[in-house]
Amino acid sequence: MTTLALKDRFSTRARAFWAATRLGWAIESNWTDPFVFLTYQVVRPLFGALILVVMYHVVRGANFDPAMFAQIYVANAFFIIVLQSLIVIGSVVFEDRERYEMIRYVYLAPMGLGPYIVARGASHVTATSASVVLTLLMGVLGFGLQLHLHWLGVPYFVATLLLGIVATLALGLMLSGMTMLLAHHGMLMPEGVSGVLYLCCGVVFSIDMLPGPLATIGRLMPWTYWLEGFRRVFLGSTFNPSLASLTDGAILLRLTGLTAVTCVVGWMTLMGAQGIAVARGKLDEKTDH
Amino acid sequence: MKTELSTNLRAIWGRAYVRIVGGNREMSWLFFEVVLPLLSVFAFAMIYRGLGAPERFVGFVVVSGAMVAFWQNILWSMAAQFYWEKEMGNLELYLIAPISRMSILLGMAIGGLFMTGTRAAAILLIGSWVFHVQYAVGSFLTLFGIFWLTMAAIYGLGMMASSLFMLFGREAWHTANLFQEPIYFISGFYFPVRSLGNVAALVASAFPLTLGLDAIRQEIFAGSPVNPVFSVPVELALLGVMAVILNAAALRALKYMEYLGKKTGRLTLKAQ
Repeated sequence: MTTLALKDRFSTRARAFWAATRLGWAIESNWTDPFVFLTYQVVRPLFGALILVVMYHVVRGANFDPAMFAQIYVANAFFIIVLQSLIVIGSVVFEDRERYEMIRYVYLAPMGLGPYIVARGASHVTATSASVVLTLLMGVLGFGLQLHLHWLGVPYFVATLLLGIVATLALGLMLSGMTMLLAHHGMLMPEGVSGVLYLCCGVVFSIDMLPGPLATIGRLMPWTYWLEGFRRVFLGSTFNPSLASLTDGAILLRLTGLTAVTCVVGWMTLMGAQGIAVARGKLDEKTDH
Repeated sequence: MKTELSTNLRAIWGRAYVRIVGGNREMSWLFFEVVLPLLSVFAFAMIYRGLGAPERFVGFVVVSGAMVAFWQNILWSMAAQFYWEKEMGNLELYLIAPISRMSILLGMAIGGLFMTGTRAAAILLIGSWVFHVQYAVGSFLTLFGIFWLTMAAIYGLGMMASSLFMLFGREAWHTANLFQEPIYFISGFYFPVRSLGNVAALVASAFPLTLGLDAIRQEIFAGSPVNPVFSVPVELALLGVMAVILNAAALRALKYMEYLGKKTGRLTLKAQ
């Protein structure tokens, strides 16, 4: 293939990806004005953080430990990206299959379903970032959270953030693949999966507290290292005693490796599920009840 | 009159039947609707364990985890369902049928109750077993009364909400999302609502789920310090009043929103 043909192919794909991202953004947001949309976006995560704050205060009361509270709060704030993105990516197949009835056309388009789903998810990650920023801001202004991001830590933070987003989108692909084979009730599955990650990845308590198999699952998840990276970069401390011996570089390396594995597994799951859905006539089967 | 009743009863059964059959056709929901939410409940219980909270707090989480199932059923499978029905083209069929809209909603509730009940029971049983939750039930009869009055009140609220969702466009999905964590917060799903302060607790108790959860906790953990908003008899009485008011209001709201929808042409407007 000549360089020109490759360039042309890349530009076609990039255009299609951008179009799908814009479509995702439009579906998500243009039913109202930006202010109302933003309010809807941030209210749920903010209340999620408030639940945690109250739980902490109810138990700890006078024995308030600001360092521990900060570790829980920061991880919970960044986990919003995982929760919200998975919910949206997980509903793409249902929406296009049962509501807009467009999935067969997306499948037939040269772009294919995989990049389309990633693009739809990417647009939502952008919208979700506002929730994360506002939650962190609420922590700083309302609960005295002290975050220290040194300029030398910025590249580490950016790399960590991007790797986690890639891993989340890859998991979204995996879930989308599974939803192709499920009836409408599978719509709550992404939220359930994010609950499993909430349990296993040390978001609000150390993974060392988990019983053996769950702790092992936690150590094999990129999000465990993702959140550990944020805690190190913003608070300069670790949360999970078993990861304390790892250097910052080792955390990033594990995050990179596990993100790569998640991408491969996510893509293979989507392709496999797509094949089964087409073979069994489930790709555009309406199942609502 | 007799024909009207029998038509409505058949409508209730007809709407419930689809869900019962749908639920049994593909059993994968057992994993997605029972096992996965169970693990989310475990996460909240582990937070309390991690913070070194008294064991009763873990019990609060397990009981609330079961009640979350009912609230999610109301929110997604009843209130928001009218929006989905509009998108699918079923809503106009319901509206021209010689039946009450509430029969359809009741059918949805009954049909969904099997899945929701299974999820709630699994969370309660497995959660209690895994975390060794110790219950001390004051009176089973009172507990039964509290549960069903709470259900009557919150399903009434769900029916009222469905009248709004009937006219919604894409904001329906976002609105249903909006009624999750904020409701968990004001209802004190994961902590006694009095922890928010007396005034906030009083305001929050205007919401039936807050009172229901508070009363259930008092009755199921009798003797433990649960920091209640009101005593059980007062909460029972309030729940009874709310159940009547909310169901009557739902009937009026459905009629009014249907009229408004017809007037503004939004009742059959799809993909907006």
